[in-house]
Amino acid sequence: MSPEEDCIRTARAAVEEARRLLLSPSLAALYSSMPHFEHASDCLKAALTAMPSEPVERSRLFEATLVLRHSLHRARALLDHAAAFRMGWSRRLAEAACGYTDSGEPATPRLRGTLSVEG
Amino acid sequence: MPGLFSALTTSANTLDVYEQVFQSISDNIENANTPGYAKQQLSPVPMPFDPAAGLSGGVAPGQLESSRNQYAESTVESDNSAWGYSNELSSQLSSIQPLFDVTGDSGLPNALNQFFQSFSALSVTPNDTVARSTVLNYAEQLAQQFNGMATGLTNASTAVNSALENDTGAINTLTSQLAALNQQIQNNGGQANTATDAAMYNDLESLSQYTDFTALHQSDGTVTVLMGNQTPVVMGNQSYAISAQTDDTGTVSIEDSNGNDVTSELTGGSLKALVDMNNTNLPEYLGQLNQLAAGVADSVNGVLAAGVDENGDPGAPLFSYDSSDDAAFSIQFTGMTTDQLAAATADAPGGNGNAIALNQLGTSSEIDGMTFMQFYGQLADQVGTDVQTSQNNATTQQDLLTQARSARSNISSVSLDEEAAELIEYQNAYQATAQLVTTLDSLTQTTIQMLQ
Repeated sequence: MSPEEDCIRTARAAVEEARRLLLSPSLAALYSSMPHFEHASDCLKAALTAMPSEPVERSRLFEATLVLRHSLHRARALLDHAAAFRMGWSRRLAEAACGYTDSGEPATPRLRGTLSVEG
Repeated sequence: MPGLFSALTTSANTLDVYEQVFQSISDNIENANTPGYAKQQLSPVPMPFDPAAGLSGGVAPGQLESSRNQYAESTVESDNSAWGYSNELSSQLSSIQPLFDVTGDSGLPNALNQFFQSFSALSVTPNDTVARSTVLNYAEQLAQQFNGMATGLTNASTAVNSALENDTGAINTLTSQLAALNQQIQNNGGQANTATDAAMYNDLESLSQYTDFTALHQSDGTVTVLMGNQTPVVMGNQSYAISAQTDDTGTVSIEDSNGNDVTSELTGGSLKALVDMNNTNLPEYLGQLNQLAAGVADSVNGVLAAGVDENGDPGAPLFSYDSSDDAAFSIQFTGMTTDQLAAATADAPGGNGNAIALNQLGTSSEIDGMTFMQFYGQLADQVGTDVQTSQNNATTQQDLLTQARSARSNISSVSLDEEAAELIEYQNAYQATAQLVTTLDSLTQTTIQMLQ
């Protein structure tokens, strides 16, 4: 296996790990997935610095990159699905708790907060 | 003494309440693996304590709260419908892929190659009986390959129709069960007990694999189910059966209990996949195969008709078929004898002029600007792409379904403050991650372009 192919395979492993984490759509999972995507990105950049000229190696690298792209699209679908789910859930809560604005949109919940002033 | 009696009564009531709490905990443990069950919680409510006013405190049972979340449930049902569609389509398409050989070593492409190559040999020795016999043998094999593929696609259509019967049967069974559960709820004064509630949601999730629907939870505790968001299949204690109907052309439609065609309302589930497979995919593939079979037969017969056979008679056809609509299924070798094969042109009897013209058919653009092999290659490529796309969709939808189920089991917070704060954080994290993925996708695309 060429060093470039090794990079692509490592990148794919990182994306697959991120994808596995995103199967649970929590905020923690989202944060945990980021380093894996970053690692995959670093691996790809390393692979891009030198492309093999030998046809068989190029073909193997091409196949490996297609597999990586498929993994990436699956991860992206999970990411978008999780975001849509979370937005929908928040919208429902806002509708239930705050009603609607004049334009018919769910009202934005107001965060409770405290302010301390000294002196 | 009234104080003592009051204290004893309060203690007894409190024990009663805690027994109910323990019962709800016990229910949760017992039903941990029950399909469709959602955890329930009974929170005791403190009672006012004012001995002077005769209020002895203690606790009262609060509302029994279910952790079920309709939003999460409907997301799971929606994703299950999408997965049911992709999975069924992938399964059906994969079953016909072996019919379309792409190596050229077997099946129709091999038969096409051998058939046209046999004319090459005939052009060298146009009056050799063995060369003539070889052409006839390969013509018969080619016709059989077309018949075999057409039969394979017809068998696939039969299997799809059988699966449609199974799906409509399963849908009707589930809607009957849901109507019966509605009846139980009505009998129970609009209250669903743990078992009824679990059974209802389990049935709804099962139903979603077969078809997309909207479940409307009514104020009387029952659920109304609208298939394809419009067709009522469950209302109160009544269910309305659907059926699959096939017309003379083989087109399938889904009808509601009144016989109305509701096919266009379906957007997901395995039922929709089967309808698409039967009404779109299979006819498209079979149509192209028929076009190829008719094209080969017409071109070859046309060239033969322009030549003369060994006896100097006008060339007889090598193939026959009933109509262009079923050419692949009905194409046949006519059974001509070797001396009837028109290898010569009319102006040079005994020569090889027509054999050369027949050989050239294999490499000239004869059908939609393509050679016969290119046309077949395009068809096989389309089937392969459809299979690959459907498999990719199925794996992605499986991921999304897994994620939705995970969200359903984890979503419990109903604190608006927490949610609002988390949403902002979530949006930031999502945007950062999405940007990472976009960069990664762009890098992947660059790599692919460099390697192409």
